[in-house]
Amino acid sequence: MFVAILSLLVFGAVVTGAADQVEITFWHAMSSGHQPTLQALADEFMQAHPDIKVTLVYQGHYGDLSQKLLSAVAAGTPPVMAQMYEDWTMKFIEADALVPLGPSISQDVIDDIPQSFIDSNTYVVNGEKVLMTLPFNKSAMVLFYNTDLVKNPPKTWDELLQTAKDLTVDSDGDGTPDQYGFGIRPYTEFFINFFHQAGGKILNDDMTKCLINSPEGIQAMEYLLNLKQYSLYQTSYLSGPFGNGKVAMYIGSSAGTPYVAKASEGKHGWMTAALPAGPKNGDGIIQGTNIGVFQLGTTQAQRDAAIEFAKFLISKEATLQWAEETGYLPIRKSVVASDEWKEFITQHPEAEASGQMALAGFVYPHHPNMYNIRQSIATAFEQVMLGKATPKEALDAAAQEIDTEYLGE
Amino acid sequence: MQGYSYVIQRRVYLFTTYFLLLLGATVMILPFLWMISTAVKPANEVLIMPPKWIPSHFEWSNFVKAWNAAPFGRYFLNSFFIAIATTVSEVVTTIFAAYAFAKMDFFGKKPLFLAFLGTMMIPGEMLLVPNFILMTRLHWIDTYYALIIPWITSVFGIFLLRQFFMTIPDDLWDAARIDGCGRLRFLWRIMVPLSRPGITSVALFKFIGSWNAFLWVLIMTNNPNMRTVPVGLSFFRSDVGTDYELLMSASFMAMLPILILFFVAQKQFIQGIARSGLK
Repeated sequence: MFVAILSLLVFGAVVTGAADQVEITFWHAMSSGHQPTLQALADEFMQAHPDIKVTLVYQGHYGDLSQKLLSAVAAGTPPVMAQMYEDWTMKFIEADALVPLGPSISQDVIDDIPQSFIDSNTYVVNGEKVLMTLPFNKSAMVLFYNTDLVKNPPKTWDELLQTAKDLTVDSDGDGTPDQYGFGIRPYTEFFINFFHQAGGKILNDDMTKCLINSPEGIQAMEYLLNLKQYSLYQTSYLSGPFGNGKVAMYIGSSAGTPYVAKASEGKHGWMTAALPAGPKNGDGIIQGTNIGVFQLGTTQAQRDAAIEFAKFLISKEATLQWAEETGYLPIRKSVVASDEWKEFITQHPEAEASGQMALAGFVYPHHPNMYNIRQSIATAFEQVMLGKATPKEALDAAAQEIDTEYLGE
Repeated sequence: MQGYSYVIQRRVYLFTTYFLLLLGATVMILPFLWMISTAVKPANEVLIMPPKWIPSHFEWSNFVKAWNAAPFGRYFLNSFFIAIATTVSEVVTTIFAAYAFAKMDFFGKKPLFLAFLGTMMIPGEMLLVPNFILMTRLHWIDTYYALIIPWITSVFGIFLLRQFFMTIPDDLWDAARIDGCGRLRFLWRIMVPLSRPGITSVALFKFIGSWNAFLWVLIMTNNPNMRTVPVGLSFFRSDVGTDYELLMSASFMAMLPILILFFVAQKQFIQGIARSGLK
């Protein structure tokens, strides 16, 4: 019985490919919402390149994908290409597992990609700066606001604080607001965004010292502590309370737009806006992964085909389709300025802010311990928000921990 | 008079007992009710606070959408096949091993048993990379071997059954030996029928564990044809949000076999846990 089922399943699993085709596997973490678009792009590419077969393999969420990639690199059997975050990329570079993609990309394409995206894909390899990977599914921070409550979205920190204050309502007088002006979720990028807008830098230039406890850090933390009085503070996603009208505004990733749309449907109007600007700038942190191609365990033909597919994914046509269908950012300046994009944002005004933020983005410095550094900062942020430490105490402790634990040689 | 007060006391006692049990049961069943209600909600009613238990209209299409989001038919087939194969093989291997540890004397029995128990102290996540490398070298990636062979026995199962076997008196073995019964026959004709609750527990634990296994399956397979239900469930969550209504309708479908199995084997299962001295 078992043997019968087993043989049936094994035969069912056999996939034969044409002999003259080069097959490339692309490991990704795009779940139900975005996978169909990725598949559509792969199909378009294969139609134009009948000699290449692209196999997309969903490998779970980012955490699962990273574990799987690290295991596969250790075993010498990575895929031909994959989505990857910067800190994983550094590990792969260390293992000499990646093909540098920069030399295959023409200068006018590089010039057409916002500088922050280029920065986050450029690594120091053997003392030289090399464009190793290419930006792919990038998202920016935007302000989501309830249009039934907010007529003019705030443009500065002061306006944000004032609007949040005005919209915090305790209608039954029990001391707990029934509607909050703003929402805060204690994660690193949220704080870093305000820190950067105050003019802060996480690490010094040669990455030997953490500067999170600088006056800019304390200024950002004190501002957020002020804002917290008029904010719903919770660790889970804010799209739910925003949809229910409990929170009038919040700052989150543009990739969350479909969830905001779903939660708000039939309840109230909503829109996105560029971030309220801080004392020094109005930049927003860019998140999301890049594409890398592996030289470890792959043939030259596979690498060439993978580079071809990566170039296609950052082409104007593909990035336009990707941005329109998924809510991720268009990663070409010419696309943000194009008539097609303008046409699209007249239909979907909520996408305009992310296009603006794409051009005003910043990224984390490349440090192999960035994951742990982010954790330390998140802990400090949470302690301040919960009233367990003053901004100075928490940031001093975080800076000291980062200096001694993660920046030492 | 005394009898009357006894009846009152007894009633108060029973009332308190049932009240506490009911309270516990309610707490336990709430998440299930939320799951079932969310599975048939329209998307914009999922996260309303306080929760809306009865949706404004029943969105049965959630089940169709969830089923079509990934090749769930194939996933279910794989999950059943892997769960049944690992359960059957584990029951067989643990019965033999537990019998040896409980009823036989051999050189190095104690240190060997301690070494077995020691393997339970190593977190599975730590073994993932070395195991992946091992499976790669064996060319078992994307095969049923990788999903079944490493799971055909379990130390926990051996330990549980050993405790069970130890409660069975040695006199039975003496009597059986006088009647000319060999070890194997004694094990299968006498020990196994007497230990049915324990064996059922081992089998159930294994089946549920195998049915819910996520990371191992994800890491050891690339081909969608080789994957199982939990991998399909992960498809409804992303780093920026979750499609709860689809996730819950898919989870409901994924949980049904386990629920049915539990109700069928409930009596044995409870006995198995209660009698083996494990709480």
